[in-house]
Order: sequence, then structure tokens, then C-alpha cells
Amino acid sequence: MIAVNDVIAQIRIDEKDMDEVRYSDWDILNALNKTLRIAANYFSTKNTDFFDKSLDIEAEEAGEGIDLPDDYITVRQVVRESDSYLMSPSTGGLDEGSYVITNNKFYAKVSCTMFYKGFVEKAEKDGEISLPMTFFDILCMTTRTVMNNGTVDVAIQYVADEAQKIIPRRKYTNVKIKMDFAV
Amino acid sequence: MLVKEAVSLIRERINDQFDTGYSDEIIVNYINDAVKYLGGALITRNDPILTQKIVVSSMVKAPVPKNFVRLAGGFPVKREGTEFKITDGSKAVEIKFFFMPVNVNIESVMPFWNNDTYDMIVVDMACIYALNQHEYDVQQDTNLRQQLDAIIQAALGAVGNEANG
Repeated sequence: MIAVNDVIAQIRIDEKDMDEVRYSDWDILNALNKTLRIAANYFSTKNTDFFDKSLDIEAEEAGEGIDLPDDYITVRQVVRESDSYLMSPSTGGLDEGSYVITNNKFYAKVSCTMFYKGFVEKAEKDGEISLPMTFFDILCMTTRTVMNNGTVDVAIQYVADEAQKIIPRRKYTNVKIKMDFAV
Repeated sequence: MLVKEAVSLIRERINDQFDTGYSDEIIVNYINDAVKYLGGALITRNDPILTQKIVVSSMVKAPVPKNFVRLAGGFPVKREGTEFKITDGSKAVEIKFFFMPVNVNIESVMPFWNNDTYDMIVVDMACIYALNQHEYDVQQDTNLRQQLDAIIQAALGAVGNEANG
């Protein structure tokens, strides 16, 4: 977890604005939230679980269609609750092993858990950002880029460059790969 | 420092101890001119001594203060004529802004809250204004301005806030 106040303090140190005369907290929080959105969008297409979230869905609500969470970006996988079976997306009819996402709603016939890529919550003063500390400097530096430059392109490029450095570190260290043939 | 003390300091400096050339009012005027000039220079340097906070509420009229210069950073408010309006729907927003010090009179204290550095700059500048009283050459005014800037730079370069960006 990263404390939002720590991020603000670090940015003030880096910008030499300890007196709070050039940037208000509101300025910094705005830029920080923009950075978080850019980072979440970028990471959603990458093979990393930093922004992964899960949602348990009951059979009844899934049957009628449940609204996707507000912070939803894209689905990663859906697991059936009863036997941890990996459900597959369907483009037509539904059975007990498939799900459909359409019209901002999620449909399935059984209780399941949806793993998805999502935004992190909006950063508020005195709050926390649910990301590991390894993001701290990326967040500070990108936020400063957003504050001083204003152009999103530069910030996206910055996130992309910095993200490359930390993406391969965590994923697949001890994964058990399923063979696509029976042994 | 009291304005009274500053006035006698200025008199000593310009060799007018016997109150012959300049009345108190005129010297106080020079002090006020110097304060305004220094105020402008300090705000350009983002000096926190001239900042102040007020709460803008959406429930009551929030007039822009008379001595308002500019906001210190961004806030979810906009200025509409002589009023602040909140732009993000919150009930109250605390804003921080730069202000110009108000005029002093002979009975008041110096406007920079007894900060010796700033008081001395004001005294120096008031002296230059006073000595310049009878000059009509524009070139003199230009030189004067440069001297004032040099005084501020010399005094604040070491202790004040560096102007950033």
C-alpha cells in the first residue's frame, strides 16, 4: 500500500515546493489520479497482476445479468465456484461452463468468481493507493510529468518505459502450466 | 518594527533628522510605495510570506478579497467578477492566495510582520524613493528600478525562496 500523503510529500520535495505556493494538494491529487488511470489502462494490456481484482458473483444475479464493476477494464478469467473450473466466454448460448459479457453486464448460469483488470480507487488525501511500494517512484515521477507537461502522450510513454522495468518481475515464478494434451 | 521607527531611520539615512525636507506623511507614502514594490517582487518569487488562506463556501457569497493577487496553486474555484465560485460541487473549499499588503500609517507596525530582512529592504527602498524626489530625468527612474531590484536580489538571494519556474 502507498500512502497518498507520502506521494504528495515526495512530489513537493522533488518540485521544491515545500511551502505549497506553486501547487495545491488539489493540483497534485488531480495529476496523481490521472496518472493512476493512465497506468491502469496501460497495465491492463500487459501480462501483470498489479491491477487484478476479483468479484464473487452468485448464480441468481449472474442469471439476470449483473452490472460490471465501475472499475472494470477487461476480464482476465472466470472460475466456477463449485469446482474451480475455468469457464470460457461464449458468443451465443449459455451453459454451465460459459459466460457472456455484453452491454456492460455479466451473464452466467452458475456462481463464479470473475478476475478482471480494474482501475485502482481514486486517490484521496489521507487515503491509500492499493499498489505495492515498487510503484511509488513511478507514480511520483509520472505525476510530476503530468503536472508540468500536461500532455498525456508524454505521461503514457513514461509509464510504459517505467512499467517495462517491473512487469516481468512477479509473474509466472511458480506457475503450473497445463499441458494441452493428456499425459 | 513600527512605522514610526522606520520613518526616523529613513530620516537619519537621508540626513533629514530635523524634519525639514520631508513630512511624516510623505515618508510614509514612500514606505507604502516600497512595500507595494517589494510585495510585487515577493509574489513573483512565490514567497510564502504573502500567502493567506480563506474558505470559500457554496452557501454564502464569497467575495474576492480586495488585496487578492493570484491563487497559490490550483483550486476547484473560479473567479466570476468579484466573487469566487466553486466548480467541483463541494460545499466548501479552502483556497490559498497571494495578497498585496495593505497601506500603513504612522501608527501601524511595518507590514511584513516584524520580519527584519523585509523591513530593512523597505527602509532601503524608501530612502532611494525619498532621495529621488526632485529628479525629473527618466534615466534616473530606470536606474532607480535597477537599484531596487538589486536590493531585493541581494537580500533574498541567500535567504528567500528561489523563484521556481
